[in-house]
Amino acid sequence: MSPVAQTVIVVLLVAGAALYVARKVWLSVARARRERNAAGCGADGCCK
Amino acid sequence: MGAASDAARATGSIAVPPAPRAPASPLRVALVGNPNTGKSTLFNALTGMRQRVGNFAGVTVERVEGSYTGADGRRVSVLDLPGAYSLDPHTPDEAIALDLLAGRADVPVPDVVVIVADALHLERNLYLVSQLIELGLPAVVALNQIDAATKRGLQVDVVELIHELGVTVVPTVATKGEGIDRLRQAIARAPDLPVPSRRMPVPRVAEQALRPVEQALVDDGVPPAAAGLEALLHLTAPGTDHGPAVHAAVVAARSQLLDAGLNPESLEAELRYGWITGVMHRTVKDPDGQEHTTSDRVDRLLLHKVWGMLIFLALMGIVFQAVFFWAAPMQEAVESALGWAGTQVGSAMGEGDLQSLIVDGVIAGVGGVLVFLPQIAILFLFIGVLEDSGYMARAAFLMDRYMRTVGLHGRSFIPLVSGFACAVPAIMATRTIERPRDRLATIMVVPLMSCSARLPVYTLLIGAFVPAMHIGGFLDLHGLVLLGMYLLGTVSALVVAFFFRRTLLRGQTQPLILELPPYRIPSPRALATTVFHRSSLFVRRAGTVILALSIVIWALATYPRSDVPDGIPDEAVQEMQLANSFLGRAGHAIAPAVAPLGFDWKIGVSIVSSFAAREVFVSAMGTIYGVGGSEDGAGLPEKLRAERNPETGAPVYTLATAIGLMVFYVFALMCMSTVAISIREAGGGWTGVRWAAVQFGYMLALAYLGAWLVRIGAGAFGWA
Ligand SMILES: Nc1nc2c(ncn2[C@@H]2O[C@H](COP(=O)(O)OP(=O)(O)OP(=O)(O)O)[C@@H](O)[C@H]2O)c(=O)[nH]1
Ligand SMILES: [Mg+2]
Repeated sequence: MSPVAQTVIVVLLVAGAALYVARKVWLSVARARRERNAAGCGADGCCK
Repeated sequence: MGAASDAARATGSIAVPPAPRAPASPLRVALVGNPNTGKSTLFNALTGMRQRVGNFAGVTVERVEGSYTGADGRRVSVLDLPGAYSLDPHTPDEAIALDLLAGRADVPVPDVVVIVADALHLERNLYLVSQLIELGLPAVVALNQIDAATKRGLQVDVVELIHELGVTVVPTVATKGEGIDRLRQAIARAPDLPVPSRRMPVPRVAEQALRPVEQALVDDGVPPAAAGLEALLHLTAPGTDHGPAVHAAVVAARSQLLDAGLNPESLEAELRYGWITGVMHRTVKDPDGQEHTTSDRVDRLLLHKVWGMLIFLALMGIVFQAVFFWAAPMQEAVESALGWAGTQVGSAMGEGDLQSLIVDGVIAGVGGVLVFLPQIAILFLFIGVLEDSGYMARAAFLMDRYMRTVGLHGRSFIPLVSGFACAVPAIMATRTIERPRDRLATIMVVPLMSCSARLPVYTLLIGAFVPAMHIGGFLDLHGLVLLGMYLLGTVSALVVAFFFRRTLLRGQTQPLILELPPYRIPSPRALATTVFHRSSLFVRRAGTVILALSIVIWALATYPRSDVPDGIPDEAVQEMQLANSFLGRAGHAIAPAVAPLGFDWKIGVSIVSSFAAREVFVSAMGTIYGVGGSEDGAGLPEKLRAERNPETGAPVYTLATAIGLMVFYVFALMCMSTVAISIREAGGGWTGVRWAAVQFGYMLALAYLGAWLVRIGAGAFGWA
């Protein structure tokens, strides 16, 4: 695979990963904000 | 299945003309019953979900929803609820089920209540059953654990029980899926059957005294069918959720009852137990009497002050030895597979950014965490055995005395032990604790218990820096150091709890009342499911959050690319590149903060990036050393051992650094999910935020102090 093609894919992957992390952080902040509601940690019993 | 739809059609065709099947809203069903009766097992059998089960009271502490499609094609939505002993709640988890039934929850009252009773303890279960059938809601009784009852020689006359209770009773063995189809049929039919009502006789005087209360309740909006039950409940617990008219009626009723020589406080209990004795007599044959001598004998040993304690410690020792011993071969296999994958990808792709991302970011980062899968699986296998055998509740009893000396309640034990798996469910498990202060003190210290996310950090450092030695022939030093880390966390949890109970959370603790579940041989299938489920959660986490973070960390450690002068060795080029990257610059900014602990900037950034989740420490180290180092094929431990301080040439990692780092991880609260759950469970809103901040702060301070003390201590002994 040519270095240029590799760089393009890398940029996309890194951007995707950064967005994913940002979303996770956002979601846990939002979850912390929501006060005591009954549904909690997901049906599997543990934490995401 | 065919029978089910036939039956459904049959009932339908007698009473009502076959209505065009509405685009029916789902039938809402709630599973209610005493703790440890098998509600969650039944829920899993009905819906095919994997809700947590365990052989002690208080496994489920929140509402969980699932669904299935009935034989008639209608969706049935099922709620699994925490257990409760009666409709008069004592703990936050009990209150969840009762709030739902009383319409105080944020979801509607269920269409059908499935009352789960345990055939082995029918007498105790009938108390709640008798209350629930007075709710005025369509109900079905699932008489679960029939197999265990039969094994003990108990015979329950189901037909007679149906007559006594006036509701459908379906015998089930939830663990084997027996009776589930019939339970589904019964659920589908229940809304068309007459609503069950009170079966126990009430003396005339009491009935007359209570009638005005019932009337007042109905005027206040209580459904007439449930008024009788509500009135009885109000005699002992004059609730505040009704108007003054109800209150006045209750006061009048109480004095009327007293005049008639009845005790209003105990009236309900007396009536119900009187009725239950009769029902038991008519429905249950128990030729052997209620003696289970083997179980009692085992209890005498396991609950013994000295022997019980020794057995407990031996069990714990075995767990930690096994985590290292059993996992080692599997771990090596995973490691070499990863090394192989790295070289394959490396040579197949050709030089470039993507190759570096996959080899140094993904394989070194995510793979570095995945290596620890065998340990996690073994840890959960042991936790599963302890939970399912019935030992957990015994251990709680055993520990009650020690818990009490530090001011914790005996009920705090199970949340603390659950903390070995994950602090999030463990903090939720504190809902079984009655008093808010006992509960809060437990929440504050649960994250000090070493959770499974710390295991990769400990294992990496122990494997790399603690010499493999056997002490006395069979004890492995690796296992002992690991046990030491867990003990350090546990002892600190108790000490900190003591401190909290003396300062912010003063108060008396109550004696422990806890049901001892029957001993049971853990079913291999259930254990396999648990282990598989927990392992796949771990893998999923590695494949999502950890993967994304690894990619981000890789990018930060790779860019911006800096120009390096020609003619210097490869290794030095990579080291310079890394030092000039975003991550390197951030690291140098952080370095002074961690320098007193003897940590370099690479450790510093790894620590900072693991504030989101602890395992990220391992993946960040993997990525940093993958990007910076050049000995290809060498594992992370080898790279760590080879790392030298560029100025002095001394090894960066000594045994003391490794121990200091582990101690830091024992104490530091580096988990966003835990902080979020602490906020919610400590009261939510600003109260919750304040408590969570106290928790985070004291743990970070302890972590820093602990790591610093290790360094100072090691220096004093001359082996820094
Ligand atoms: N022998 C036998 N054991 C059962 C049966 N159903 C459940 N169990 C066991 O009973 C124990 C309790 O099961 P759970 O489903 O966790 O009980 P629960 O009612 O949800 O308990 P809480 O959530 O604590 O209220 C587990 O060890 C199950 O394996 C059954 O039909 N027969
Ligand atoms: Mg349950």
